[in-house]
Amino acid sequence: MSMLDGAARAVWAFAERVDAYPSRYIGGLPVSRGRPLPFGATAVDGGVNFSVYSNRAAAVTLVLYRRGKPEPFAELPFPDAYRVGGVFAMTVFGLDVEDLEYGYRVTGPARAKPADRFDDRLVLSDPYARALSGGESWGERPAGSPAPGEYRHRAFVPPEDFDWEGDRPPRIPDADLVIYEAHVRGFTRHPSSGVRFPGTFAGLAEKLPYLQELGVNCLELMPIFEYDECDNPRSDPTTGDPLHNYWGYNTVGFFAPKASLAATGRLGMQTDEFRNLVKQAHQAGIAVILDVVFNHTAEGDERGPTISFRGVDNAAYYMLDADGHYLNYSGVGNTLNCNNPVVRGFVLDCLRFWVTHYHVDGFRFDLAAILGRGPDGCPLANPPLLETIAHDPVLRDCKLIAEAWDAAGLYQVGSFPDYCRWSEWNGLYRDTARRFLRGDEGTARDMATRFVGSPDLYGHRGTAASVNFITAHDGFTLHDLVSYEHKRNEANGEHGLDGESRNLGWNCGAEGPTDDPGVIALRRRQMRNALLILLTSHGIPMLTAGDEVARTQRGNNNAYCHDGELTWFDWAQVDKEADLLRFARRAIAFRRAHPALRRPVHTIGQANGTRGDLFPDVSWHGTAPWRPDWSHHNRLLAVLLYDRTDKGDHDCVYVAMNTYWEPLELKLPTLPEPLSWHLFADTAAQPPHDAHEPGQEPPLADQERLTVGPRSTAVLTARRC
Amino acid sequence: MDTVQEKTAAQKAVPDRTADQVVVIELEGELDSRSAPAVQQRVVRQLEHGGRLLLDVTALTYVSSAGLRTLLLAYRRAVAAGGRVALTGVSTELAEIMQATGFLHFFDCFETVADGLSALAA
Repeated sequence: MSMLDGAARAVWAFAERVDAYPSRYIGGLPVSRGRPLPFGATAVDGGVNFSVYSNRAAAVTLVLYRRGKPEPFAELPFPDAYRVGGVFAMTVFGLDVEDLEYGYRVTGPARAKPADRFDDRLVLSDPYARALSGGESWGERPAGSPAPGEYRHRAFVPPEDFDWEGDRPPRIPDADLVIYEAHVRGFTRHPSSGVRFPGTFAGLAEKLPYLQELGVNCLELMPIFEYDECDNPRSDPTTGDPLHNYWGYNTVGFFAPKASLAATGRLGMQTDEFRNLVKQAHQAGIAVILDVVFNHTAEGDERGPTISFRGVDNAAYYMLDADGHYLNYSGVGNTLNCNNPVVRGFVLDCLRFWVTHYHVDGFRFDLAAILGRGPDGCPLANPPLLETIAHDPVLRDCKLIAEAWDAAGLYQVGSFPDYCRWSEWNGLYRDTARRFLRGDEGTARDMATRFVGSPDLYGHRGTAASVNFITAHDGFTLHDLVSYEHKRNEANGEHGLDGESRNLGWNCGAEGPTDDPGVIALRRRQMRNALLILLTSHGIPMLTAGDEVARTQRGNNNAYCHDGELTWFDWAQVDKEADLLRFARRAIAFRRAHPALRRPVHTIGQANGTRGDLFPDVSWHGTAPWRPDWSHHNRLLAVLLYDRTDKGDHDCVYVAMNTYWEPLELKLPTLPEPLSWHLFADTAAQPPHDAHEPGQEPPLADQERLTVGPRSTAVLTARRC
Repeated sequence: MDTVQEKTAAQKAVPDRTADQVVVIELEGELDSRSAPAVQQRVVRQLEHGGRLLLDVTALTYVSSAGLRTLLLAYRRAVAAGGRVALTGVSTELAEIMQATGFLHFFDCFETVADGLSALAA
């Protein structure tokens, strides 16, 4: 017998609990007083422990179903003795968890307030449900109209154990991250994906080698909490087909991975499948971040369905006016009351759960400005939820990224309450980079600030506070940003009125598809310029899945409702756009190879003389070295970034961005012997010479001058001859 | 009460047999939360003193989450006791489920009982 085996046996003897026996029968089932913590339904010795809280409820009844059966087989009112404060807890013995679904009826107090929406005729989903059934088949709508009060999103108890085999989070330093934003279904659903499990967690796991080869090290998944992809009431105006809620920013179950994103969801194994994806990603050196939506729920406003929260404790979970009407800061009907003390606990429980049970590495918070609003909707100076998340020990190593605005005009980029922990989607980086790329006058200075990690916004916190991006799931893809000036959203069923109208894009001379070789060549160059600027900027770069192979949404900049060719990653592009993909790979590899591009601390424009630095950490240049042109009409930005490698070697990267429509000849800063300038990338050059393999850059023939083509970017690095 | 229980007994009436000091356990029907405890007991008994076990899953028609865990627990028990566990007769569907959920890579899988026996006996 091994030591380990012996230790396990010793622990087992103590694991047998003296309270693991029923003390009475309710609803024909043996039960005992439950354990109030943890909340939710938890398999325990011989039974299942159910714990649910509501400070306003007068009574709660546990409703049990056999799997898939329309009618419950038992209803168990919680006895008063089984209530601790506002928590109702009961252990039910002898249940077969694999053949069990459950919900609650919640009865309100005798004297209802306007904010109350209790209705004990309805069966409610557990807010802490760890898995939901009823939505296993993607896109399958219930036949006919749902019966009034039908219990659709049914909670069940999935297994909690999983063999992680010593899984360890990659713990990649923030400044080294390269984020890749993807939709689980969209990434592999296209028939061209060639995976065994298209459109699922398992399908995505099959494509991890692609991401490794691309070089990204952080996968940011668009919503994977249970949502109802069929809750979109709109139809395609051309085909009449119902539209979807494909993206999923409308949460039904915050603790439950979405079954229809799992190949094994029909077997109730979505929890295992998602855990396996995280485990595989970690083995590939890739961190996993979840895009989480705590600003609202799928229950909508007064007209929306009652799924869970509304019937459990409406006044706690939602922001309401004095008459009990929903305040709408999210733009989609209701607003989660995040700084209510009870809801704060709920959000924290949820985040901790995903970290401890699923080993995820961080979160991106959708419309996070709402998380800083008080119960009356006013922004708080010191929002307790954001502070709690920032300092929580379980979340200590998690990446926290805020989308620092909301749908009601609160824009907090650079002023989000960060507690020196939160990073932000830097919307100013996106807007400035777009204007600069299209050659707007007067943007070079601002681009310079964004390029070095937006010290005006994040100077006190370091560059990793800034998540830099030029495109995201919201808005144009990179291909469409350089191909359309006007959104093409008619297919979204809102007469083309939805989606952002101020896209700051430029179509390069023709709107949409064109045969004009000049326009096509310019678009290709512009996509490379964007990738290269993004990947040489200080801060954390974020790429949108498919941009590396010129994915198009045919000008649709709000494709949340389309589940098809418009939104799926077409893997044929990997061959068709092999040149662009190679360029992106090399640009990412170049970033990895150069600490000067991954500085965690902002540059100060000075050299560290004591260690014999060759150059300041950042220096700005023009057509003449050391003479930048900050005038309004200037469209050239030339920057020399300097740092030391781990071995103490000099690391010099010179980036010249010319958004002028003519070529410019630049005189280069002089390098001391034995260093000389080598060309990593030149977006004016034909592939494969547009970017070279890092470490194999050819030397510049002329060490004094560099011609940067019209609307082109060149990147040099200093190497020994 | 329904009568699913009889149907789901995932064990053949065939007794475990031993060939070249490898114990073969044939499973059939549905391996789920109802049948898993008995199967587990049987597996544990065989692995108590180490040993080599070949689980023949050819006749399994369904494996649930609890069933997958039973297989993995057999593997873990075997490793802890210095024994080995392998599978034979894994259908394409079962292999896909185990692949998607991360259970497959723990196991050596063999096409036939004979293949499994000779590998485990080696």
